[in-house]
Amino acid sequence: MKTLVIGGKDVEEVKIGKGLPLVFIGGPCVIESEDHALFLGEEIKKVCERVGIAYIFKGCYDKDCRSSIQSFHGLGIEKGLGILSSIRKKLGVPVTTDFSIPEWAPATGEVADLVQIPAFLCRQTQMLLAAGRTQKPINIKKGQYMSPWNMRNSIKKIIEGTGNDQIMLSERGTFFGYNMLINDYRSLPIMRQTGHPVCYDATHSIQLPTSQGSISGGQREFVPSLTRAAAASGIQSLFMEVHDNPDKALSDPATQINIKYIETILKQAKRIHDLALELSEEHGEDNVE
Amino acid sequence: MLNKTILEIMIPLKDFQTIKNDDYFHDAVEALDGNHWGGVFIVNKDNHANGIFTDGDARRVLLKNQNPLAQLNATEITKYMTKDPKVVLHSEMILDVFKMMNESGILVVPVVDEEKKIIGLVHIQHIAKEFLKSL
Repeated sequence: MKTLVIGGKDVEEVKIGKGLPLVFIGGPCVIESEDHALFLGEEIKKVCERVGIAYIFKGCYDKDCRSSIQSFHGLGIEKGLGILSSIRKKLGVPVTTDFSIPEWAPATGEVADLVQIPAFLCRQTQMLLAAGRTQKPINIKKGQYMSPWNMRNSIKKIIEGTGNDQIMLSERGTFFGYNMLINDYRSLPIMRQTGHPVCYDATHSIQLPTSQGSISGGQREFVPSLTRAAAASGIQSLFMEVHDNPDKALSDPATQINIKYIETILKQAKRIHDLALELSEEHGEDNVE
Repeated sequence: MLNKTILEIMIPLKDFQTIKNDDYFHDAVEALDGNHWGGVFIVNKDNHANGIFTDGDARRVLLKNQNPLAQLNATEITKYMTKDPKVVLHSEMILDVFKMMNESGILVVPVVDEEKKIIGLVHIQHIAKEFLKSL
């Protein structure tokens, strides 16, 4: 399995790969302001230090997938990347963000240590090539409409088109009829078979897309149990959108998790991950045919 | 007739399809369908034969498969191919190749040049035709 090397130099270097400790990627869905993003980043970093888990700050500068044109979609690329750059310097941790049109990729890659491809756009060739050309590690969210085995095509597009093979895949739920996502946990071992690390996105997995007319709903109460199951199944990183007051968040209020819960969730995820590594060491890879 | 080399009776590479290591099961079945000799060779970037996948292999995979067909179709063929198939050098004599195929129980074999690059294939039927001509 590929090992992603994220950050380094002026921020902490974080490695994601087989047999390595679990990594947490977290932050607000969208950057609401510099002060707020920095506050969340500082608080999450403290939690991660207490739990003993490596941390990558996440925050989007322009969400292009909002259900309504009236919805807040971010501060824009210039201001948003400026804030991410500032958080990177002040916290000393790697940062990640996504981009929604290929033209935004070069500037995004200048700042982000890990470049994210949104789920809805995960098979768009120009998006994938633009991400690859940044030469930064890439996190492709598996589209809610995509089968896990077909994600290999997205990986191949990037590698064959740009030579960049620092790629991770994320499970973030699969459409189960309309306005409903579920996790098919078979996707975790299937995506691992690509030879690339897998991330479990806990807060998007419980989303009920556009279930509230012009905004998405979500069932946050399922985040802990789904996260435990994912960690036991075998993941290399965990992703959650975190907010200090989710109900008042400017984006995805129903799915972001309150920061007061994440220490307990991360502790459990880390212990289960460590046990899974131990069991894998003791019993080897799954070999049932 | 049997003092010919394999080069003289082989099917040249331009007349059949090969597939790459990272191609899928579906690509292999398409190539099988186009090749008409019951198999497809899986080659690396240097055109060395890494494996062979036959009609029989496809049948066995389908009989055993429990995954959705779309998942099987998107599975890399390296999972199902027979790795490192026997190859013959283009300068080998027909009779020697025939003996080898008979002893190994194989019906088809890739023909390679001195650098082990595939340049053609020979099927047991091609050899049988040469035998008939020699009678």
